[in-house]
Amino acid sequence: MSSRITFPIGVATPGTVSVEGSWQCNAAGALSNVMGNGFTVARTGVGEHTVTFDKAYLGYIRFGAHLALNAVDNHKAQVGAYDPVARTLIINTVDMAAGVVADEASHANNRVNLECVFKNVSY
Amino acid sequence: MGSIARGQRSSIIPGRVDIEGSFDCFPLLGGSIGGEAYMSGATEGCPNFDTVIEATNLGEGSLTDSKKITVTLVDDAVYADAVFNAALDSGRAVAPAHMDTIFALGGVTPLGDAGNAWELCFVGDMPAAAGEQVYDDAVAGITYIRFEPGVSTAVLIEAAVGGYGGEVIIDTVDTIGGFLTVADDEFAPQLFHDGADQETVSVIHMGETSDVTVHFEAAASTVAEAEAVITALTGDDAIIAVQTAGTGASVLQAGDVLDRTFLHSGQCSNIHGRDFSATRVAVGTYDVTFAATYPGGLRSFDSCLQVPAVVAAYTVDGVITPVSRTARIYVCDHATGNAVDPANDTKIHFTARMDNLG
Repeated sequence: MSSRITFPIGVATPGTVSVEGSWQCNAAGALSNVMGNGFTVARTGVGEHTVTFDKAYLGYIRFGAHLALNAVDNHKAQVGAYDPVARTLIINTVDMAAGVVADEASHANNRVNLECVFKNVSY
Repeated sequence: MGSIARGQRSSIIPGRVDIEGSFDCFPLLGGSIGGEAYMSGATEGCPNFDTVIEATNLGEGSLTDSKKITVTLVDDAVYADAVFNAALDSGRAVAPAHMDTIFALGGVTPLGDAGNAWELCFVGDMPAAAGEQVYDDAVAGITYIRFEPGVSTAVLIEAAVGGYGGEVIIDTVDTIGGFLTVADDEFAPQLFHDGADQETVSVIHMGETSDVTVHFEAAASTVAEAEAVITALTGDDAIIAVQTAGTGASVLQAGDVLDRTFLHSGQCSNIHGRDFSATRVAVGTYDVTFAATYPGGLRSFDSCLQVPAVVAAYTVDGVITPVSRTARIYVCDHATGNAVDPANDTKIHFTARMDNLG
């Protein structure tokens, strides 16, 4: 059990829900070591990761995705299309030099980190 | 009221408040255009004239609808008279591949195909007799379309399909003196010829908060020429003038969006979240300004770009200024490192962590 003193985090926009997580890239193989709740994720194409949220929310506030790499490389994660009906969000891993999607090598430290904030109440 | 139960989250830092949000990179235009305006490079030939204006998917709806006005600067060195002439001529008979024009003169002759809702070509300096709307100069091999006061046909241009579908875009009622005014309830630019220079065409976008005038001089019909003229300017000018508060004239070039080009200072659209505003302040540069209700100001900030298609550009966080409560975001071309305006429909998402204790 944690013993550290913590403080509540306030938010400017009330009634929001964060969905955060990360997962390991495995080249052309299936994604693995998915951490976080409230979503599933699958590789749906070269460098394309489709996040499916468990629940439908009333709207989104923000999306964010960042790529962690074991070794320095010119690659990044880019947020793509969001489909509120299918509850899916595309995250592409991109070779920035070429401007094309590319799979990341399989490594425990090659991970996509996801942070999404949704509206959970109407007002 | 939503009903999805979720957990709570805490921080080791007291007084933290997160401001999360997102916004479209494209600024609002002030409400009158109801769409997106682009400056694009030469894509159609229009050699002797300064401006081609096209509007695609023009229809009723919100600012987020897919509407645009494209103003094309034509490079005489690239596009010969014959190119435009042939396109225009063929357009009246068959759909030219690169014109895609729905263009009706006198409600009679639709040009082009239905691939786009409509496109307008405005040309001036026509050596035709008064009252003629279309003039074929057989000797020069040039077809001119003229907008003049006093023409007999009421409807000069109408949308043939899509969008306003048959609604009059321009009629003779809108022609005043040497001016041509495009009047519509949602779409109200003005196009007019400068009386002293028949090859000068101006576009005024009349917004609630800003009016922008663009003059295309005969002597500056190429991008390079326009840039040279603009560079020499010291104030509001005959080429580009920002009529309301703004940061002044900018360079007109391929791919520029109209109100980006003119540094509209407009609020970015489609904002999600609270306690902040987002403004485009320069090419590829956005300021997010947070509410003044956080005594300790801004502690950290991160942003992310959502793009309609994969591009070699990304957001980077620029200067965080706690005192002024702003975070500057640059959208950078990864290859060059330069700030660039992203493609339409691009969104910026961010999280700012504020100190609510001070």
